[in-house]
Amino acid sequence: MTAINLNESSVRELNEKLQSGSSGDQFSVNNTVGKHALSVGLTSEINVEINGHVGYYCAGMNQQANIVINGNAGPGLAENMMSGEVRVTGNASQYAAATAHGGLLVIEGDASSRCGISMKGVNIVVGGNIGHMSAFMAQSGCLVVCGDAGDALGDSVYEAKIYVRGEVKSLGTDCIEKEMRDEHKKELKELLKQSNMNHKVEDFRRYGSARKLYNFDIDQVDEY
Amino acid sequence: MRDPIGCKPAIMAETDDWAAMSSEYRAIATLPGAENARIWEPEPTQIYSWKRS
Repeated sequence: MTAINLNESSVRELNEKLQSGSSGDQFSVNNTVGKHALSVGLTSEINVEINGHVGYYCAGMNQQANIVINGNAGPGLAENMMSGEVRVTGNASQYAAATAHGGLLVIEGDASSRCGISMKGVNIVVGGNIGHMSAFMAQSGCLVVCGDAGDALGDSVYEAKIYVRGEVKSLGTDCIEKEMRDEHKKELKELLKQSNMNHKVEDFRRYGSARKLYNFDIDQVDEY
Repeated sequence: MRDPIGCKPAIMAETDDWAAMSSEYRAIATLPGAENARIWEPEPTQIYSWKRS
């Protein structure tokens, strides 16, 4: 285990050290005090434990690394993640996992607005609630919400799957509730297991695209 | 009060001794007891108020 104290090391030194780590290496990061861009651009299967709250863009562009944040995360957590796993024990701010292509993001607390915006294959599991405009233009992957969802959930969603256990304040344009078939139950069960969330699959509802925005509707030509 | 679309960065924190608001946690981190403060992101158009007890 390599311990890095951000009172003594700069963020640049931290990221250089983590980016040059080899598979299986363990790192712990302390005295974060909300600093930005911690643990970004990692490309190997290392384990990073970050103790304390983090600022903007933590764990961005992650590939393969397993990152645990013991605290809250600021805006842009795990943005454009490709693979690996990022877990936050507290809350996450706006646009968590935006444009992320793969891997798993687990937020044990609440996520703020625009969670999973334009997600492209990542799986996101939120233990608490999510804010408005989540999964906006989400293309693929799954967004699992164990609490409630805010306004305009899944606005203009493509083929991402959204599972919500609690209330949905409102659905966005072209987002509808859909039937939970066996393959969805299986997928959701696996995601809940991977993220250590102890909920029953039967308590969730599935939402997705009504696919009405895929093609131009001639009746709406006057709108333009 | 938070902006209606909740786009501007905002974070709030409170303890028994103080309440603080900022655009990001870094500014709050230096306050005494910040590590144990209750921290949340304000809701759009929500008004928050405090009074001395």
